[in-house]
Amino acid sequence: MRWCNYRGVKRFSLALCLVTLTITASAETLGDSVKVKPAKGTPEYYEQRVERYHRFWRGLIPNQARVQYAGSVGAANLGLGWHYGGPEHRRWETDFMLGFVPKSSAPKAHLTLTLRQSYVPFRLRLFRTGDKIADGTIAYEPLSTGLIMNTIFGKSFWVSQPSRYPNKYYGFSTAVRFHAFLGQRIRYEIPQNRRKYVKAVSLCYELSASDLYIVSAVPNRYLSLGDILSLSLGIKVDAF
Amino acid sequence: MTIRLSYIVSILFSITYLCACDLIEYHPYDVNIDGPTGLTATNCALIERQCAGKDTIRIAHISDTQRFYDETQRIVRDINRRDSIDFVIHTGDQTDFGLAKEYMWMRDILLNLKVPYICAIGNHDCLGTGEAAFRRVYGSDNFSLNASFLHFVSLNTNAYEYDYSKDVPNFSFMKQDAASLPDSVTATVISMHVAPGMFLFNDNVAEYFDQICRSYRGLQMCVCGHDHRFEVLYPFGEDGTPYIQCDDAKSCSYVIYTVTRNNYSYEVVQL
Repeated sequence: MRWCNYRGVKRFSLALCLVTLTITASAETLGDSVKVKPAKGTPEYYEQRVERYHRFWRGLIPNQARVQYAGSVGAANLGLGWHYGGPEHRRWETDFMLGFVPKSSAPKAHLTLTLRQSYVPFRLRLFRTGDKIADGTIAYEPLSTGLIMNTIFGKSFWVSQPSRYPNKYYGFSTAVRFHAFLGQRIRYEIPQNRRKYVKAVSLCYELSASDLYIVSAVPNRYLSLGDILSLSLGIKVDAF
Repeated sequence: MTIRLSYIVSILFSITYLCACDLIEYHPYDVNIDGPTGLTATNCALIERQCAGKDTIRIAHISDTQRFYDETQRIVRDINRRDSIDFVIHTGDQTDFGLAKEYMWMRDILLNLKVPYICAIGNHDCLGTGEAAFRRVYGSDNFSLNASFLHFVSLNTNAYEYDYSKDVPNFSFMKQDAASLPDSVTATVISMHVAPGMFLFNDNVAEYFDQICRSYRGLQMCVCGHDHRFEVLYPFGEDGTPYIQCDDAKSCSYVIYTVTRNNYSYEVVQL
C-alpha cells in the first residue's frame, strides 16, 4: 500500500504521538489515571465516561464553609464555597453566603445572598504544634483580598428601577451592592490523627467598602476612610 | 515561637481596636441609627419656643444636599455667620441612595447649625429603607409648627415613589391641620420636595392639592426643591400660589425668606 512506505509510517506515528499527547494532557488536567482512551462500545469506555461524570460532579462539592459576622452583607452569614488554584488549591476562593439583616428601625428584617471571590496570594507558616509532619500547623495569611456581590431581598429593593420611571432616572440598583475588601487570617491545620470532620480552621477579619460609600467619599473631604469601612469577623473551615 | 506568638497577639489587639472604631455595619440599608434621633419633634418645639412673640421670621432654605457634603458644610458655615436666621428648612433629598449612613452624615453636618432645622422627605430619601431611616432620624413626613404668627407645614409629595398607592400628598392631614390653626396664626408657608407640575407629584390631584393649600389661613407661598435650580414657579397660573424652588447644595446656593404677618420677601444667597 502507498501509505506503508517510510514517509507514511513517519507521518502516521507522528500523528499518533500527537493524539496520545493530547489525550494524556487532557486526562492529566482532569486528574485522570486512565491514559488510553478505550474504544467506543467497550465496557471500559462506558466506565470511563461514568468515572469522568463522577469526577466532574465531585469537583462541585463545596470544600469549605464560612460563618461571618457583619461586613455590610448581613449581621449573621452562613456560607459554602470552594478553594482552588495555586499551591494546595488554596489561592482562590469562591463562596456563596446567606445572610440575615435584623429589623432594627425598618419595618421588616431582610435576607441577603452574597457571592464572594477572594484571592489569598501567600501564607507564612508560623509554627507547628508538634515535631512530626502530621502535627498541626498554624499559618498566617497576611493578605486576603477580593470582591463581594451582595443582594438584599425585599419589596422595597429593586435590581433595576421599576418601569414607571423615565429611562435611567435612578442610575443604580438598591438591591445589588458591590464591595471590595482586604483582610487577614490565621489558619490552623488540624493534625491528621485528630481530624474528625474538618481539615483546617481559619479565623478571618476583613475591611470592606461598598460601591455607594466609595462614590460618596471620593468627591467629599468630609468623609474619611474610617467612615466608609466595614469590619467583618469570620470563621472558615476547610472540609478537605 | 514567642516572637511569632506576638504576631497573633498584635493582630488580636488590632481587631479589638477596629471593633471599637464603630466599623460594624450589618448592611448599608440596615436602619441602625447612632446618635440623635426624633429631631423633628425636638426642633419644632425649639422653633416654637424661640420664635414666640416675634413679628418677623427669617428662614434659611436649603435643598437637595445629597452627596454634596463639603458644599453643605460651606452653606452651614455661611448660615451660622448670620445672626438673624430663626430656623433652617431642608426640602428633601438629603441622601442620594436612602442609606442610613447618608442620613447620619448629613444630620451631623446640619446639627452644626446654630439654629434648629427641619426636613421634608425627598424622592431619593424614600429609596430602599430610606423612609424608615427618615422616620427614625427625623420623625413624621407630614408635620407642622407655629412660629409665632407663622404656620409652617412640611409635606411628603413624592407620590410617584409610592406608585400613587399611598395617601401622598396626605389630604386628611392637610385638612385637619388647616382646620385646627390657633388664632395667633396669620400667615402660612408650606414646604415640600416636589412641587405640582413635576412628574413625581401626582398631578391628577394637583388642583385639589392647591385648593386645600389655599384653605390655610394667609397662605403666602410654597417652597420646594427637587429640580436642582432656583426658580419661582406658578403651577396654577400667575395669580396662583408661588412655589419658590431652591437650588441644590452643589451650586452652594440657598434662599433666605423674611416673613412678616402679611408679607414675605426672599433673597438668594450664592456662595
